[in-house]
Amino acid sequence: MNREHLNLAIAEEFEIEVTDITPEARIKETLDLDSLSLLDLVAVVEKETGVKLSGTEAVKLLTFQALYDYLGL
Amino acid sequence: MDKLTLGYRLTKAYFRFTTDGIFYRKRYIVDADHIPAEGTPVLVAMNHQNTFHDILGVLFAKYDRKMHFIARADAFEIHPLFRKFLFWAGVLPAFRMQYQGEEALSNNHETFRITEQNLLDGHTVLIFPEAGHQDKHWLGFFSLGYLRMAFEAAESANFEKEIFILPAANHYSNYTGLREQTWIRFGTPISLQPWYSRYKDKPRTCQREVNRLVREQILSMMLDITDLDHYKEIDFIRNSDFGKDFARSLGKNPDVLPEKLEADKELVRRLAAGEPDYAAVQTFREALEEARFNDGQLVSRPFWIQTILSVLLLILTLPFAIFCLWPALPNWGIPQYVNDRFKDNDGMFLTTFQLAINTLVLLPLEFVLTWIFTGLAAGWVIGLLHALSLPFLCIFEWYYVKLLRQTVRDIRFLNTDTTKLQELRQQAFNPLTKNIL
Repeated sequence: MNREHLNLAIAEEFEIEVTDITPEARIKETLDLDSLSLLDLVAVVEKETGVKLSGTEAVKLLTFQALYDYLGL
Repeated sequence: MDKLTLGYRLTKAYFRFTTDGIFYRKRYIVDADHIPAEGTPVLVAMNHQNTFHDILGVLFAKYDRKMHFIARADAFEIHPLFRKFLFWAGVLPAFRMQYQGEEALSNNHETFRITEQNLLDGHTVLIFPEAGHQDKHWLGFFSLGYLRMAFEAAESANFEKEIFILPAANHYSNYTGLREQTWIRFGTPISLQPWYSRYKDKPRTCQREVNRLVREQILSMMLDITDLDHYKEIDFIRNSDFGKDFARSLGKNPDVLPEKLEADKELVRRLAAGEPDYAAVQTFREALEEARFNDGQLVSRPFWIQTILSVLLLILTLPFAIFCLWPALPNWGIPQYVNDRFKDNDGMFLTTFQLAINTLVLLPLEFVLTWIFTGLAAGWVIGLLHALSLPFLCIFEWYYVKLLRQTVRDIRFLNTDTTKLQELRQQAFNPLTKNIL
Protein backbone atom coordinates (compact mmCIF):
# COMPACT_ATOMS: atom_id res chain seq x y z
CA MET A 1 0.00 0.00 0.00
CA ASN A 2 1.30 3.46 -0.83
CA ARG A 3 -0.07 6.97 -0.54
CA GLU A 4 -1.43 7.01 -4.07
CA HIS A 5 -3.57 3.92 -3.52
CA LEU A 6 -4.90 5.25 -0.24
CA ASN A 7 -5.63 8.64 -1.79
CA LEU A 8 -7.55 6.99 -4.64
CA ALA A 9 -9.65 4.97 -2.23
CA ILE A 10 -10.42 8.03 -0.07
CA ALA A 11 -11.24 10.14 -3.14
CA GLU A 12 -13.61 7.46 -4.40
CA GLU A 13 -15.37 7.05 -1.06
CA PHE A 14 -15.75 10.78 -0.45
CA GLU A 15 -16.43 11.71 -4.08
CA ILE A 16 -13.67 14.27 -4.42
CA GLU A 17 -10.86 14.76 -6.92
CA VAL A 18 -7.77 12.85 -5.92
CA THR A 19 -5.78 16.01 -6.65
CA ASP A 20 -7.58 17.68 -3.73
CA ILE A 21 -5.73 15.32 -1.42
CA THR A 22 -2.37 16.88 -0.73
CA PRO A 23 -0.11 16.29 2.28
CA GLU A 24 -0.81 19.73 3.73
CA ALA A 25 -4.60 19.67 3.07
CA ARG A 26 -6.76 19.52 6.18
CA ILE A 27 -8.67 16.26 6.36
CA LYS A 28 -11.84 17.62 7.96
CA GLU A 29 -12.38 20.42 5.46
CA THR A 30 -11.27 18.45 2.40
CA LEU A 31 -13.61 15.54 3.09
CA ASP A 32 -16.38 17.53 4.85
CA LEU A 33 -16.02 15.22 7.81
CA ASP A 34 -18.36 15.02 10.73
CA SER A 35 -18.39 12.47 13.53
CA LEU A 36 -20.13 9.81 11.46
CA SER A 37 -18.28 10.30 8.18
CA LEU A 38 -15.06 10.18 10.18
CA LEU A 39 -15.92 6.56 10.84
CA ASP A 40 -16.27 6.08 7.07
CA LEU A 41 -12.69 7.34 6.72
CA VAL A 42 -11.57 4.95 9.45
CA ALA A 43 -13.21 2.09 7.53
CA VAL A 44 -11.49 3.07 4.27
CA VAL A 45 -8.11 3.28 5.99
CA GLU A 46 -8.59 -0.12 7.59
CA LYS A 47 -9.70 -1.72 4.34
CA GLU A 48 -6.82 -0.28 2.34
CA THR A 49 -3.97 -0.54 4.85
CA GLY A 50 -5.10 -3.08 7.40
CA VAL A 51 -4.44 -0.54 10.16
CA LYS A 52 -7.30 -0.29 12.62
CA LEU A 53 -7.50 3.38 13.49
CA SER A 54 -9.86 4.46 16.26
CA GLY A 55 -12.12 7.47 15.70
CA THR A 56 -10.50 9.18 18.69
CA GLU A 57 -7.07 8.78 17.11
CA ALA A 58 -8.33 9.79 13.69
CA VAL A 59 -9.81 13.06 14.94
CA LYS A 60 -6.35 14.12 16.14
CA LEU A 61 -4.87 13.72 12.66
CA LEU A 62 -5.45 17.15 11.18
CA THR A 63 -3.72 16.85 7.80
CA PHE A 64 -3.13 14.07 5.30
CA GLN A 65 0.58 14.28 6.11
CA ALA A 66 -0.28 13.46 9.73
CA LEU A 67 -2.32 10.49 8.47
CA TYR A 68 0.57 9.25 6.27
CA ASP A 69 2.99 9.64 9.18
CA TYR A 70 0.67 7.67 11.45
CA LEU A 71 0.35 4.89 8.88
CA GLY A 72 4.07 4.98 8.02
CA LEU A 73 3.40 5.72 4.34
CA MET B 1 -49.23 16.13 12.41
CA ASP B 2 -48.60 16.69 16.13
CA LYS B 3 -51.65 17.37 18.23
CA LEU B 4 -50.65 20.05 20.69
CA THR B 5 -51.53 19.24 24.26
CA LEU B 6 -52.72 21.91 26.65
CA GLY B 7 -49.58 21.36 28.71
CA TYR B 8 -47.36 22.01 25.68
CA ARG B 9 -49.29 25.15 24.74
CA LEU B 10 -49.16 26.52 28.29
CA THR B 11 -45.47 25.73 28.65
CA LYS B 12 -44.75 27.46 25.36
CA ALA B 13 -46.75 30.52 26.41
CA TYR B 14 -44.98 30.59 29.78
CA PHE B 15 -41.55 30.39 28.10
CA ARG B 16 -42.61 33.14 25.72
CA PHE B 17 -43.46 35.30 28.72
CA THR B 18 -40.21 34.65 30.59
CA THR B 19 -38.03 35.11 27.52
CA ASP B 20 -39.75 37.85 25.53
CA GLY B 21 -41.46 39.49 28.49
CA ILE B 22 -38.55 39.47 30.93
CA PHE B 23 -35.26 38.31 29.49
CA TYR B 24 -35.28 40.12 26.14
CA ARG B 25 -36.25 43.69 25.45
CA LYS B 26 -37.36 42.86 21.91
CA ARG B 27 -37.56 39.82 19.63
CA TYR B 28 -37.74 40.23 15.86
CA ILE B 29 -39.01 37.31 13.80
CA VAL B 30 -38.62 38.04 10.08
CA ASP B 31 -40.20 36.06 7.23
CA ALA B 32 -41.83 33.42 9.43
CA ASP B 33 -44.26 32.92 6.54
CA HIS B 34 -41.37 31.27 4.67
CA ILE B 35 -41.80 28.25 6.92
CA PRO B 36 -43.74 25.76 4.80
CA ALA B 37 -47.25 24.82 5.90
CA GLU B 38 -47.77 22.32 8.69
CA GLY B 39 -47.61 18.78 7.41
CA THR B 40 -44.67 19.59 5.11
CA PRO B 41 -41.36 17.96 6.07
CA VAL B 42 -38.99 20.83 6.84
CA LEU B 43 -35.51 20.78 8.25
CA VAL B 44 -34.53 24.25 9.47
CA ALA B 45 -30.75 24.75 9.25
CA MET B 46 -29.55 27.73 11.26
CA ASN B 47 -26.32 29.34 12.45
CA HIS B 48 -25.66 28.63 16.11
CA GLN B 49 -24.98 31.72 18.22
CA ASN B 50 -26.26 31.11 21.68
CA THR B 51 -26.97 27.64 23.06
CA PHE B 52 -30.60 27.19 24.12
CA HIS B 53 -31.69 30.71 23.12
CA ASP B 54 -31.36 29.98 19.40
CA ILE B 55 -34.04 27.31 19.66
CA LEU B 56 -36.57 29.79 21.03
CA GLY B 57 -36.66 31.98 17.92
CA VAL B 58 -37.80 28.99 15.85
CA LEU B 59 -40.12 27.75 18.58
CA PHE B 60 -41.93 31.09 18.75
CA ALA B 61 -42.02 31.65 14.97
CA LYS B 62 -45.02 29.34 14.63
CA TYR B 63 -47.12 29.45 17.72
CA ASP B 64 -49.53 26.63 16.91
CA ARG B 65 -46.90 24.09 15.87
CA LYS B 66 -44.78 21.65 17.80
CA MET B 67 -41.17 22.04 16.73
CA HIS B 68 -38.57 19.31 16.97
CA PHE B 69 -34.93 19.99 17.75
CA ILE B 70 -31.60 18.30 17.91
CA ALA B 71 -29.31 19.55 20.67
CA ARG B 72 -25.98 18.61 22.21
CA ALA B 73 -26.26 15.44 24.24
CA ASP B 74 -24.59 16.95 27.32
CA ALA B 75 -27.70 19.09 27.86
CA PHE B 76 -29.48 15.83 28.66
CA GLU B 77 -26.99 15.05 31.41
CA ILE B 78 -27.72 18.14 33.53
CA HIS B 79 -30.53 16.51 35.50
CA PRO B 80 -32.86 13.50 34.91
CA LEU B 81 -35.92 15.74 35.21
CA PHE B 82 -34.50 18.19 32.70
CA ARG B 83 -33.78 15.24 30.40
CA LYS B 84 -37.43 14.20 30.59
CA PHE B 85 -38.50 17.77 29.93
CA LEU B 86 -36.30 17.97 26.82
CA PHE B 87 -37.70 14.74 25.36
CA TRP B 88 -41.23 15.95 26.10
CA ALA B 89 -40.49 19.29 24.41
CA GLY B 90 -39.36 17.53 21.22
CA VAL B 91 -35.59 17.79 21.74
CA LEU B 92 -33.35 14.87 20.74
CA PRO B 93 -29.68 14.40 21.70
CA ALA B 94 -26.80 14.56 19.23
CA PHE B 95 -23.69 12.78 20.45
CA ARG B 96 -20.27 14.03 19.48
CA MET B 97 -16.92 12.36 19.67
CA GLN B 98 -15.13 15.16 21.49
CA TYR B 99 -17.71 15.32 24.28
CA GLN B 100 -19.27 11.87 24.66
CA GLY B 101 -16.54 9.72 23.12
CA GLU B 102 -16.47 7.39 20.16
CA GLU B 103 -18.62 4.70 21.82
CA ALA B 104 -21.53 7.13 22.21
CA LEU B 105 -21.66 7.91 18.49
CA SER B 106 -23.78 4.85 17.78
CA ASN B 107 -26.53 6.49 19.87
CA ASN B 108 -26.92 9.00 17.05
CA HIS B 109 -28.53 6.31 14.92
CA GLU B 110 -31.60 6.41 17.14
CA THR B 111 -31.71 10.22 16.97
CA PHE B 112 -31.36 10.03 13.20
CA ARG B 113 -34.08 7.40 12.93
CA ILE B 114 -36.58 9.42 14.99
CA THR B 115 -35.72 12.63 13.15
CA GLU B 116 -36.17 10.98 9.77
CA GLN B 117 -39.54 9.72 10.92
CA ASN B 118 -40.43 13.20 12.21
CA LEU B 119 -39.66 14.60 8.78
CA LEU B 120 -41.69 11.94 7.01
CA ASP B 121 -44.56 12.68 9.38
CA GLY B 122 -44.51 16.27 8.14
CA HIS B 123 -42.89 17.92 11.16
CA THR B 124 -40.54 20.86 11.40
CA VAL B 125 -37.10 19.95 12.74
CA LEU B 126 -34.38 22.42 13.72
CA ILE B 127 -30.73 21.50 13.51
CA PHE B 128 -27.51 23.47 13.84
CA PRO B 129 -25.11 22.24 11.14
CA GLU B 130 -22.20 23.91 12.96
CA ALA B 131 -22.87 21.49 15.85
CA GLY B 132 -21.43 23.72 18.61
CA HIS B 133 -22.35 27.36 19.08
CA GLN B 134 -19.95 30.11 18.07
CA ASP B 135 -18.61 32.69 20.47
CA LYS B 136 -18.25 35.05 17.52
CA HIS B 137 -20.46 36.48 14.80
CA TRP B 138 -19.06 34.02 12.32
CA LEU B 139 -20.38 31.04 10.39
CA GLY B 140 -18.38 27.95 11.22
CA PHE B 141 -17.83 24.66 9.41
CA PHE B 142 -21.00 22.71 8.59
CA SER B 143 -21.24 19.02 9.28
CA LEU B 144 -23.18 17.37 6.48
CA GLY B 145 -25.09 15.12 8.87
CA TYR B 146 -28.22 17.27 8.55
CA LEU B 147 -28.40 16.67 4.80
CA ARG B 148 -27.60 13.01 5.22
CA MET B 149 -30.59 12.78 7.55
CA ALA B 150 -32.87 14.61 5.13
CA PHE B 151 -31.85 12.54 2.11
CA GLU B 152 -31.99 9.28 4.04
CA ALA B 153 -35.51 10.19 5.15
CA ALA B 154 -36.43 10.74 1.49
CA GLU B 155 -34.76 7.47 0.55
CA SER B 156 -36.68 5.53 3.18
CA ALA B 157 -39.87 6.84 1.56
CA ASN B 158 -38.64 5.78 -1.90
CA PHE B 159 -38.02 9.42 -2.77
CA GLU B 160 -41.74 10.02 -3.01
CA LYS B 161 -41.87 12.62 -0.26
CA GLU B 162 -40.76 16.20 -0.92
CA ILE B 163 -38.49 17.37 1.89
CA PHE B 164 -37.43 20.99 2.34
CA ILE B 165 -34.36 22.56 3.88
CA LEU B 166 -35.11 26.01 5.27
CA PRO B 167 -32.00 28.13 5.90
CA ALA B 168 -32.37 30.53 8.83
CA ALA B 169 -30.13 33.02 10.61
CA ASN B 170 -30.19 34.50 14.07
CA HIS B 171 -28.47 37.43 15.71
CA TYR B 172 -28.25 39.12 19.11
CA SER B 173 -27.43 42.67 20.12
CA ASN B 174 -25.38 41.11 22.92
CA TYR B 175 -25.71 37.42 23.51
CA THR B 176 -24.43 37.44 27.04
CA GLY B 177 -26.72 40.15 28.36
CA LEU B 178 -30.19 40.60 29.79
CA ARG B 179 -32.78 42.99 28.27
CA GLU B 180 -31.09 42.83 24.88
CA GLN B 181 -32.59 42.37 21.40
CA THR B 182 -32.71 39.17 19.42
CA TRP B 183 -33.49 38.55 15.77
CA ILE B 184 -34.25 35.59 13.56
CA ARG B 185 -34.89 35.49 9.83
CA PHE B 186 -36.01 32.62 7.64
CA GLY B 187 -34.65 32.26 4.11
CA THR B 188 -36.18 30.62 1.06
CA PRO B 189 -37.03 26.92 1.41
CA ILE B 190 -34.92 24.60 -0.74
CA SER B 191 -36.79 21.57 -2.06
CA LEU B 192 -34.65 18.44 -2.14
CA GLN B 193 -36.87 16.80 -4.74
CA PRO B 194 -34.88 18.10 -7.77
CA TRP B 195 -31.76 16.69 -6.09
CA TYR B 196 -32.99 13.15 -5.54
CA SER B 197 -31.58 11.70 -8.76
CA ARG B 198 -28.25 13.40 -8.13
CA TYR B 199 -28.23 11.96 -4.62
CA LYS B 200 -28.83 8.42 -5.91
CA ASP B 201 -25.80 8.78 -8.15
CA LYS B 202 -23.40 10.80 -5.97
CA PRO B 203 -24.70 11.16 -2.41
CA ARG B 204 -21.78 13.02 -0.86
CA THR B 205 -21.36 15.36 -3.83
CA CYS B 206 -25.06 16.10 -3.76
CA GLN B 207 -24.94 16.90 -0.04
CA ARG B 208 -22.00 19.25 -0.60
CA GLU B 209 -23.82 21.08 -3.38
CA VAL B 210 -27.00 21.55 -1.36
CA ASN B 211 -24.91 22.52 1.66
CA ARG B 212 -23.31 25.26 -0.42
CA LEU B 213 -26.76 26.68 -1.25
CA VAL B 214 -27.82 26.56 2.38
CA ARG B 215 -24.65 28.30 3.55
CA GLU B 216 -24.99 30.99 0.86
CA GLN B 217 -28.46 31.87 2.13
CA ILE B 218 -27.44 31.92 5.79
CA LEU B 219 -24.36 34.02 5.02
CA SER B 220 -26.45 36.56 3.13
CA MET B 221 -28.69 37.03 6.18
CA MET B 222 -26.29 36.97 9.13
CA LEU B 223 -23.33 39.05 10.28
CA ASP B 224 -20.26 37.09 9.27
CA ILE B 225 -16.93 38.47 10.46
CA THR B 226 -14.43 36.26 8.69
CA ASP B 227 -11.30 38.22 9.62
CA LEU B 228 -10.84 36.32 12.87
CA ASP B 229 -7.33 37.75 13.36
CA HIS B 230 -8.89 41.19 13.88
CA TYR B 231 -12.21 39.99 15.26
CA LYS B 232 -11.95 41.87 18.56
CA GLU B 233 -11.13 45.13 16.80
CA ILE B 234 -13.92 44.77 14.22
CA ASP B 235 -16.43 43.88 16.92
CA PHE B 236 -15.23 46.84 18.97
CA ILE B 237 -15.57 49.23 16.00
CA ARG B 238 -19.12 48.15 15.22
CA ASN B 239 -20.18 48.42 18.88
CA SER B 240 -18.49 51.78 19.40
CA ASP B 241 -19.96 55.20 18.84
CA PHE B 242 -18.25 55.10 15.47
CA GLY B 243 -20.32 52.03 14.56
CA LYS B 244 -23.49 53.84 15.59
CA ASP B 245 -22.54 56.90 13.53
CA PHE B 246 -21.88 54.63 10.58
CA ALA B 247 -25.38 53.15 10.89
CA ARG B 248 -26.90 56.65 11.05
CA SER B 249 -24.91 57.65 7.95
CA LEU B 250 -26.73 54.86 6.10
CA GLY B 251 -30.08 56.07 7.40
CA LYS B 252 -30.32 53.17 9.88
CA ASN B 253 -31.31 53.40 13.51
CA PRO B 254 -28.48 51.84 15.57
CA ASP B 255 -30.87 51.09 18.44
CA VAL B 256 -33.09 48.86 16.29
CA LEU B 257 -31.38 45.49 15.88
CA PRO B 258 -32.46 44.60 12.30
CA GLU B 259 -31.31 48.04 11.10
CA LYS B 260 -28.07 47.85 13.06
CA LEU B 261 -27.43 44.38 11.63
CA GLU B 262 -27.71 45.67 8.06
CA ALA B 263 -25.39 48.57 8.90
CA ASP B 264 -22.89 46.23 10.59
CA LYS B 265 -22.84 43.96 7.55
CA GLU B 266 -22.01 46.96 5.35
CA LEU B 267 -19.41 48.18 7.86
CA VAL B 268 -17.70 44.78 7.90
CA ARG B 269 -17.72 44.75 4.08
CA ARG B 270 -16.09 48.18 3.93
CA LEU B 271 -13.53 47.29 6.59
CA ALA B 272 -12.60 44.18 4.60
CA ALA B 273 -12.24 46.24 1.42
CA GLY B 274 -10.13 48.94 3.09
CA GLU B 275 -6.95 48.51 5.05
CA PRO B 276 -7.79 49.82 8.51
CA ASP B 277 -5.07 50.40 11.07
CA TYR B 278 -6.23 47.66 13.43
CA ALA B 279 -3.14 48.16 15.62
CA ALA B 280 -4.35 51.68 16.51
CA VAL B 281 -7.85 50.34 17.19
CA GLN B 282 -6.40 47.60 19.39
CA THR B 283 -4.34 50.11 21.38
CA PHE B 284 -7.41 52.27 21.96
CA ARG B 285 -9.62 49.28 22.83
CA GLU B 286 -7.14 47.94 25.38
CA ALA B 287 -6.61 51.36 26.96
CA LEU B 288 -10.35 51.83 27.25
CA GLU B 289 -10.80 48.37 28.80
CA GLU B 290 -7.99 49.00 31.27
CA ALA B 291 -9.58 52.31 32.29
CA ARG B 292 -12.99 50.54 32.46
CA PHE B 293 -14.70 53.29 30.46
CA ASN B 294 -16.78 52.99 27.32
CA ASP B 295 -16.46 54.77 24.02
CA GLY B 296 -19.75 56.59 24.49
CA GLN B 297 -18.36 58.46 27.51
CA LEU B 298 -15.55 59.92 25.41
CA VAL B 299 -17.99 61.10 22.76
CA SER B 300 -20.78 62.34 25.02
CA ARG B 301 -18.94 63.39 28.15
CA PRO B 302 -21.21 63.01 31.20
CA PHE B 303 -22.18 66.20 33.06
CA TRP B 304 -21.91 66.59 36.84
CA ILE B 305 -25.51 67.76 37.15
CA GLN B 306 -26.75 64.67 35.30
CA THR B 307 -24.56 62.44 37.47
CA ILE B 308 -25.79 64.11 40.69
CA LEU B 309 -29.39 63.57 39.58
CA SER B 310 -28.60 59.89 38.95
CA VAL B 311 -27.12 59.60 42.47
CA LEU B 312 -30.25 61.20 43.94
CA LEU B 313 -32.48 58.84 41.98
CA LEU B 314 -30.43 55.86 43.19
CA ILE B 315 -30.71 57.01 46.83
CA LEU B 316 -34.45 57.64 46.57
CA THR B 317 -35.14 54.23 45.02
CA LEU B 318 -32.67 52.34 47.23
CA PRO B 319 -35.35 51.01 49.65
CA PHE B 320 -37.31 49.58 46.72
CA ALA B 321 -34.10 48.15 45.24
CA ILE B 322 -33.44 46.39 48.56
CA PHE B 323 -37.02 45.08 48.51
CA CYS B 324 -36.38 43.73 44.98
CA LEU B 325 -33.37 41.69 46.12
CA TRP B 326 -36.00 39.02 46.57
CA PRO B 327 -36.17 37.48 43.99
CA ALA B 328 -33.41 39.24 42.01
CA LEU B 329 -30.52 37.96 44.11
CA PRO B 330 -31.22 34.20 43.84
CA ASN B 331 -32.33 34.62 40.22
CA TRP B 332 -28.98 36.12 39.35
CA GLY B 333 -26.74 34.29 41.82
CA ILE B 334 -27.88 30.66 41.45
CA PRO B 335 -27.44 30.45 37.63
CA GLN B 336 -24.08 32.20 38.07
CA TYR B 337 -23.05 29.55 40.62
CA VAL B 338 -24.20 26.70 38.35
CA ASN B 339 -22.40 28.22 35.38
CA ASP B 340 -19.17 28.73 37.31
CA ARG B 341 -19.33 25.14 38.47
CA PHE B 342 -20.01 23.50 35.12
CA LYS B 343 -19.15 25.79 32.23
CA ASP B 344 -16.97 28.52 33.58
CA ASN B 345 -15.20 29.11 30.27
CA ASP B 346 -18.30 29.78 28.18
CA GLY B 347 -20.22 32.96 28.94
CA MET B 348 -23.08 31.96 26.67
CA PHE B 349 -24.01 29.04 28.89
CA LEU B 350 -24.71 31.56 31.65
CA THR B 351 -27.63 33.06 29.73
CA THR B 352 -29.00 29.57 29.12
CA PHE B 353 -28.75 28.72 32.81
CA GLN B 354 -30.28 32.08 33.70
CA LEU B 355 -33.25 31.47 31.46
CA ALA B 356 -33.73 27.74 32.07
CA ILE B 357 -33.20 27.67 35.84
CA ASN B 358 -35.26 30.79 36.41
CA THR B 359 -38.11 29.67 34.17
CA LEU B 360 -38.30 26.05 35.21
CA VAL B 361 -37.33 26.19 38.87
CA LEU B 362 -36.77 29.53 40.56
CA LEU B 363 -39.70 31.62 39.35
CA PRO B 364 -42.35 28.95 40.09
CA LEU B 365 -40.76 28.22 43.47
CA GLU B 366 -40.47 31.89 44.37
CA PHE B 367 -44.06 32.44 43.25
CA VAL B 368 -45.34 29.85 45.71
CA LEU B 369 -43.06 30.96 48.58
CA THR B 370 -43.92 34.63 48.08
CA TRP B 371 -47.63 33.96 47.95
CA ILE B 372 -47.43 31.92 51.15
CA PHE B 373 -45.19 34.21 53.21
CA THR B 374 -46.59 37.55 52.04
CA GLY B 375 -50.06 36.02 52.21
CA LEU B 376 -49.56 35.04 55.85
CA ALA B 377 -48.19 38.46 56.71
CA ALA B 378 -50.43 40.76 54.66
CA GLY B 379 -53.33 38.74 53.30
CA TRP B 380 -53.70 36.36 50.35
CA VAL B 381 -54.63 39.00 47.76
CA ILE B 382 -51.58 41.11 48.59
CA GLY B 383 -49.55 37.90 48.58
CA LEU B 384 -50.80 37.02 45.12
CA LEU B 385 -50.08 40.52 43.80
CA HIS B 386 -46.57 40.36 45.25
CA ALA B 387 -46.02 36.93 43.70
CA LEU B 388 -47.29 38.11 40.31
CA SER B 389 -45.01 41.14 40.41
CA LEU B 390 -41.80 39.10 40.92
CA PRO B 391 -40.66 39.18 37.27
CA PHE B 392 -41.11 42.96 37.16
CA LEU B 393 -39.17 43.36 40.41
CA CYS B 394 -36.30 41.51 38.71
CA ILE B 395 -36.43 43.88 35.75
CA PHE B 396 -36.44 46.90 38.08
CA GLU B 397 -33.41 45.54 39.96
CA TRP B 398 -31.58 44.94 36.71
CA TYR B 399 -32.13 48.55 35.57
CA TYR B 400 -31.17 49.80 39.05
CA VAL B 401 -27.86 47.94 38.99
CA LYS B 402 -27.24 49.13 35.44
CA LEU B 403 -27.79 52.78 36.46
CA LEU B 404 -25.63 52.27 39.56
CA ARG B 405 -22.75 50.92 37.48
CA GLN B 406 -23.09 53.68 34.90
CA THR B 407 -23.16 56.35 37.61
CA VAL B 408 -20.05 54.97 39.31
CA ARG B 409 -18.33 54.86 35.92
CA ASP B 410 -19.38 58.45 35.17
CA ILE B 411 -18.07 59.68 38.55
CA ARG B 412 -14.73 57.98 37.90
CA PHE B 413 -14.71 59.42 34.38
CA LEU B 414 -15.33 62.97 35.62
CA ASN B 415 -12.42 62.63 38.04
CA THR B 416 -10.01 61.26 35.44
CA ASP B 417 -7.82 63.02 32.94
CA THR B 418 -8.93 61.38 29.68
CA THR B 419 -6.73 63.41 27.31
CA LYS B 420 -4.62 60.36 26.42
CA LEU B 421 -7.72 58.26 25.73
CA GLN B 422 -9.11 60.99 23.49
CA GLU B 423 -5.84 61.03 21.54
CA LEU B 424 -5.90 57.26 21.14
CA ARG B 425 -9.51 57.45 19.98
CA GLN B 426 -8.59 59.98 17.32
CA GLN B 427 -5.69 57.85 16.13
CA ALA B 428 -8.00 54.83 15.90
CA PHE B 429 -11.13 56.36 14.43
CA ASN B 430 -10.06 59.44 12.43
CA PRO B 431 -8.64 57.34 9.56
CA LEU B 432 -11.80 55.23 9.62
CA THR B 433 -13.99 58.34 9.50
CA LYS B 434 -12.07 59.44 6.42
CA ASN B 435 -12.02 56.09 4.63
CA ILE B 436 -15.09 54.19 5.78
CA LEU B 437 -17.80 56.59 6.95
